[in-house]
Amino acid sequence: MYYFYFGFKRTYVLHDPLILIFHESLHKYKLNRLVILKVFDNAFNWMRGVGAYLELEDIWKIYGDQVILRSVFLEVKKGEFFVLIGPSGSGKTTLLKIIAGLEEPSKGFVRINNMIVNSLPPHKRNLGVLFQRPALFPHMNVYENIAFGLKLRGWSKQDIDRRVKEMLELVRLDPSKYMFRNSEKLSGGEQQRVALARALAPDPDIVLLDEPLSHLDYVLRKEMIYELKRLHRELKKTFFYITHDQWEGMVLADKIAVIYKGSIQQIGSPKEIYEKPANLFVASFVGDNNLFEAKIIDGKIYIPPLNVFIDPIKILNGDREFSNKQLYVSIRPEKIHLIKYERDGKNESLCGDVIDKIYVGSYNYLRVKINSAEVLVRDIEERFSPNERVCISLPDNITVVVE
Amino acid sequence: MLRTRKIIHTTNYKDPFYLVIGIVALYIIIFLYAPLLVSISRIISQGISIDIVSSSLPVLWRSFKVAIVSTLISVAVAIPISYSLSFYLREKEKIIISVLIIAPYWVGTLLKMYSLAYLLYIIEGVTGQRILYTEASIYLGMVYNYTPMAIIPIFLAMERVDRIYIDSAKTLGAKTLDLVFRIILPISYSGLIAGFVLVFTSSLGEMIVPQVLGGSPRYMIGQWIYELTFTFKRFGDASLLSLLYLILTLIVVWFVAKKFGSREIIL
Repeated sequence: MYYFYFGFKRTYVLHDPLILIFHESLHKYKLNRLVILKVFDNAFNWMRGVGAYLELEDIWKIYGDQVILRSVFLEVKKGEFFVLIGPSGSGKTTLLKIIAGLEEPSKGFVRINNMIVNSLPPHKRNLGVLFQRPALFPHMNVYENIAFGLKLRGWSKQDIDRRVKEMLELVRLDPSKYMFRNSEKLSGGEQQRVALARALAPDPDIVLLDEPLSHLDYVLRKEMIYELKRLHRELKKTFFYITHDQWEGMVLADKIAVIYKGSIQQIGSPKEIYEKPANLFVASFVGDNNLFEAKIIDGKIYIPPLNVFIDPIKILNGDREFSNKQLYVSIRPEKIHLIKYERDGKNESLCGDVIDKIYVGSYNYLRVKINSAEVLVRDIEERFSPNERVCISLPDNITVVVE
Repeated sequence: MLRTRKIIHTTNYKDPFYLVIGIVALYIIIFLYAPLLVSISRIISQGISIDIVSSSLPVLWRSFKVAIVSTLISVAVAIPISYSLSFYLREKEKIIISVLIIAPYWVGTLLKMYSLAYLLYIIEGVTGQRILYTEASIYLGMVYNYTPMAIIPIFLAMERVDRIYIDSAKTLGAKTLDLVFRIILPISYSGLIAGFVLVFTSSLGEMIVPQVLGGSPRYMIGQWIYELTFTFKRFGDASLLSLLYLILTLIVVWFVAKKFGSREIIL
């Protein structure tokens, strides 16, 4: 790792080999080192071509003997809406802090626009960050809050006025009503909108969002999610969003990464994550799911809890080596068919009693006990009720999950 | 008339409101107001000299001056110390350092001032510059004595600054100096005012510091009242001056509170 100084301050960290060649001889010249380096660095990047906009390479974060982040590799393209989902304590917030510059990784590189920014302090990174709590400065009103980043960049008063109005209109808050209100007198949703306006005002390259909707109620959350989608479409900025709510992730994301206990489990589009989970955790974390142990016997899949053999027409993610790993079968509730029980029906083997009915309104689930397993099945039309005997039929295409 | 009255027997629990108020009132009367009443009675019984107030004006003025200036210096010194303590130390280190800061108070002002005097004596010997028994040494002693007292409320106020404001400001582009002057100091403002008032009111009546480190036996009002009481035994004069001083102090504090404090002045 090579550090370069501008005056006393360490401003730039590079490790590209092309620069190394020049590094040794650079200090012999009494020219402005940083200018020379920037020229070569940009030339090198131009030759390489612009790839990812935000790149995390082998990020580790170790605190004492706790490994918080383990070999994290991520790539976010410019203008993408990237969502990182994972349960609490999986290291998401730490990762966001590392990207923002509020913490440094123990190992690995953070690259923004192909430049290594590990040691670059947050105020030089041109990011916008939205936290879980709005965190509006209590000693400033709405105008001053939004103008904060602009004042620090030396904008003129007219420009600031114009921009604050623009931002308030962008987040659908009426400027005439809100501009000089004290930040503490706003509701949670309004505060979060002002915080968003504040983060977006200085026109950042990347917008980081740390579970911004977790403190809002259901209706507000829905509203804000559509707002965020609209903003992303309008502003065309790169969004990096963290949440533990996989529904938010599925709705908002162009690409999702699932993180668990500090390591990335899978990266893919929402469709890929849902239909082709890479391991047991992803299969159980995203959406409701039925997961059963499975063995391959004579080319067929045997599911012990259901006591059934399946000869699948297609294994959905069957491009892997199965031999010595533990297999699971992942069957989504909405893909199972419910059949009325007939005494001498064909599908005797997959029948059981309805244990429970879960009514949500827009979708309804039944928990059915079949052989030794509990199966979650979607029953939108409410055809069955508890204690009724019912049969199921499994889909033709099975998703196999390898652990 | 169909009104039936049902007597519901409640347990014999009477709200001890009056008992609590009574105890608190007793405490305030005994420890805060009784001495004042004694002072007032002394004025009446012992009599006062005609010119006691006018002749004490220079001393009063000097005391205020020394108190204000030394308080401002103490607070100015306390702010960067509290800032470093609050934002650059880890939790365990904070506890240890806090104890170390308060520890000198266990020694007491008198011993601290004597050791400072000795230290200044040594420095005088080395540099040849006259420090001890000057006005400068009084200011030095006041600041040395009262800075820890200023650090405590300022440190507490800075601890209560939510670190999420710091993170937000940093990501919005605030460098360290911007952080301090635009975010931390405004948010911990109430602690700054509390520190100022605390140190100021304590400095006004300071007697030990000017006595040990100062050149004149009547530099500050504390010394003068002490002299009046124990050397000249003019109890009436002493009591009058004390009361006068108390009223002046209250006026100044009320003025500071009005002008600079808003909501939570007290810790």
